Amino acid sequence: MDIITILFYLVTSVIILSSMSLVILNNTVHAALLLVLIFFNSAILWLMLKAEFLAIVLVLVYVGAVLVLFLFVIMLLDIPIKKNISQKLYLLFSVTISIIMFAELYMVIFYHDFVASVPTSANSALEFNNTYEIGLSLFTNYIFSFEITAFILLVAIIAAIAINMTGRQRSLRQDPGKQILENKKSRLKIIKDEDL
Amino acid sequence: MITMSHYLVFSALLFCISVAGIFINRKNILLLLMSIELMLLAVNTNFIVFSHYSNDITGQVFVFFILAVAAAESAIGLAIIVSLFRIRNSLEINLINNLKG
Amino acid sequence: MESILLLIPILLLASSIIIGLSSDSLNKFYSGVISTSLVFSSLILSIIVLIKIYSSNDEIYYDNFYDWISINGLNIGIGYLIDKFSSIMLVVVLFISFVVHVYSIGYMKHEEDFKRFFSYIALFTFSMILLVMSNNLIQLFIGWEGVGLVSYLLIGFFYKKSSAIKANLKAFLINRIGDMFFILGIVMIYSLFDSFDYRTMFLNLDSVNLSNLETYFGLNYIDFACLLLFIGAMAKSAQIPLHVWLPDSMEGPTPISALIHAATMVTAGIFMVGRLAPFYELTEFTTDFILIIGASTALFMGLIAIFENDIKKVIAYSTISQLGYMVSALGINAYTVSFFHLFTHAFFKALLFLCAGSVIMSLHHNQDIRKMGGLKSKLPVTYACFLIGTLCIIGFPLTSGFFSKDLILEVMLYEETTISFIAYIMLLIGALVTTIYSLRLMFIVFYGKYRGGDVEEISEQSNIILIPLILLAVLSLTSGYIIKVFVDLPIFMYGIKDIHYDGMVTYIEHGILSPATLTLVLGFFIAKKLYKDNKEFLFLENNFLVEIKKVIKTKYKFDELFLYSSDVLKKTSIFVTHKLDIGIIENVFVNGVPKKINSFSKILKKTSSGYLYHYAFSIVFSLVVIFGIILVRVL
Repeated sequence: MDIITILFYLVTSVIILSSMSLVILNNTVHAALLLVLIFFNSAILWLMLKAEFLAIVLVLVYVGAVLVLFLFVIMLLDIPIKKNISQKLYLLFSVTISIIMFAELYMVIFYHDFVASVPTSANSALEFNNTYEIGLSLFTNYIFSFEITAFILLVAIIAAIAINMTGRQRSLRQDPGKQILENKKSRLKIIKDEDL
Repeated sequence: MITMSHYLVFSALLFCISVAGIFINRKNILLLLMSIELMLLAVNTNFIVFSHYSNDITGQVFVFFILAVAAAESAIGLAIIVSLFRIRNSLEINLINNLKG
Repeated sequence: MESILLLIPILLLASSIIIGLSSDSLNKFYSGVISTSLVFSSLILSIIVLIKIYSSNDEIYYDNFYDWISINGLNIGIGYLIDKFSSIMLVVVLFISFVVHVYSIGYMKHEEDFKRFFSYIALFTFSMILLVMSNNLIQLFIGWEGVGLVSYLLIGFFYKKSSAIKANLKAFLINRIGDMFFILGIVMIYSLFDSFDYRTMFLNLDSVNLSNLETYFGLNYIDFACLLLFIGAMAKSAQIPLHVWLPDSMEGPTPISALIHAATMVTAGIFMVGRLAPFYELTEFTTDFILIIGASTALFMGLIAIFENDIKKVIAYSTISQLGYMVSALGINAYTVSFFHLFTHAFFKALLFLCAGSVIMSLHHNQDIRKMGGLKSKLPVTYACFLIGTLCIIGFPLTSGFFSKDLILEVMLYEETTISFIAYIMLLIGALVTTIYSLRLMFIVFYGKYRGGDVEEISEQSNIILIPLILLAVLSLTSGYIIKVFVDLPIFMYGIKDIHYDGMVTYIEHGILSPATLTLVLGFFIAKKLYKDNKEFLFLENNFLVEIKKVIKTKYKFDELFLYSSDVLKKTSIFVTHKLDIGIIENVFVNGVPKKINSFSKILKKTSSGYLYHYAFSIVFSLVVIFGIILVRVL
């Protein structure tokens, strides 16, 4: 058993275990931190697959930006920690369906004989530059998609701002969301004499 | 020796766990978003595995795009969650059933 | 010529529109004068047309004013076909209309809706002129319907009276029955010739092989088509059993009764049969049918008139009876004879109605003859005119009715078939009946003592009412002397019935010696005895005759027959509505399908709970299932 194999099993077991606990846990802060752990381990896995650029991007962009954003939101919203009220029946169903799904995927993987395939030499050559290759491909063949991705990010920024824009609080503007959620209780409050 | 199928089985397992996570989770919409991130991670891993073993850089280019789109998606998703929380004062999924027919 | 012919209807339409739409500031009298003068100009123009027709030799004016509808070989125009037949009709219609206009200025002067009335009668005349001038069946039908519509409006002129509203609805509905058959007949004729045009139809008549056509209900094609057309005429010309609307139409103002009965509406049926004479020449069955209907109408409707007490209704039944004479003449293909009677009848019937109107006005709208009597000295002019009208209708020698009625009887006698002989007997008895009810009316109204209470107020009406009476009286007396015109009258380029006519003197001599004179004398004595001297005949107390009298007094229960049949229809339609319409169509199809969809969608609705994880679950579940199916197939 060489070091690569040990590393592989170590990394994957960490990822699987932490993702399982992420799914089961109720605490969102813990979940976010577990996600950080998973992404770091995935980055290691990707490095093992000689995808250095993407591994770095995963750490920098995902862990550094997206997951921090998650943490910010969690902190901002101050969500009370509540127990997952998932019923036993649901748990059973979801676990069963996941197991069936996994079984099916497993069958596909072993039906096609992926075991024999080994990376070719070109990829593992010393002069091979992963970042250079991706950049070359990205700015030649996929330049149009790349531009569109830039637009998608721009749209995401605008959308994120637009969704959370609440005009000035002092204005008497109508708020449809509030109006819809009005109910009998919020409109009329009956105060009994003894409460006064 | 770690073969391609090891990686594939791993990512399939990760994917199934995150699918189960979507069903199990009925408490918090944030966790749901995290499960989706996990699913994307599994898919990305698959892309990289195939890219590595078939010696083709295109898979990694796709991962790049997926990461970009996923970042955008989670940004908007979080924005929606924030405004949802502002209206409902809660993130419980079983309270959100406005689509009920 | 064309501009003159175009002007005749246009003037009438203009009169109707101008008077109908004029403001309140226009004085009643002046609006009446405007309307009357327009009708008078039309009359003058029609007389010019008549003179032109008669000064030229058998010329026929035929053209289209314009093409109205032109689709793929189907051409319907608005045009005219003026021959001797229709030009005489034009003059008669316009003359009666003119007289009625003049009379109405006096008669209607106290009515609030004076202008509406004038607008309607102008429109009425216009529709009739359209019908008479028509050169195709569609224009004829438009005029036909127009006449029906305006008669509806005029019978219900006093729309605040519920009886008037019921009467006009009745007239309208009965006419609808006829119109339905009429339009079916038109369609049958059309499918034979591919044209609505008279001239095209009649000129192609020889080329159509009539024996090869299909038959309906055992009748050959042309018989059936003519029968359908005649049923239309039966409703318009008030023949048994579709006559029931005519007595009720007395709810309208009296001038209207005169107009309907003398010139415009009821004569339309006779005119139509005369116009389509070439078809009726070809049919044996239908003419026999016409003869039976006409003769029985003439006799049985006359009998009802003997027991009526409403002055207008008596005259109405007499109209139906006289129309029966005309129709009987049509039944033996003697169109010109029928038309001659129509011509003379127009004058004396208008005269009788206008006299009755004068009497009614003098008695402050009392129509019950039991409350009249002794009016001879109070209303001398009206009495004289009424006497002339009565003499005409009973066919007193040398009056117009004498010529025309005798001609019908003579022609009937010389037809020499069994059925025409029976009809002849019926018409002869009808003549007796006519004498009795006409003289009865006159004796009761004008002789004896006044039975209506206060005597002082009764006085003759103004000149504007009396002048039309005198005019009509003169024409009633003299119009019979142009018998030669009618004997020689060609009916649309078609062979006319050969009528043996040896000049006026011979004819009069022959007429006086005919059995009709006997019925006249007999009738006179019976009527005098019964109604003037108020004596009873002993034999009338006979049980059998009393029973007959009872039957006649029920008016043969035609109204009840219609009520019963409508009741049956109503019950059927209620059954259809409840069982078929509501039961099957509505509950099963119209409401049933949405209900089923609704209940099904209620089941489906449960699947969309609105919860995110349910949707996600269903997506993943189906994904797994589809994936599994593919796997099973591949592996």
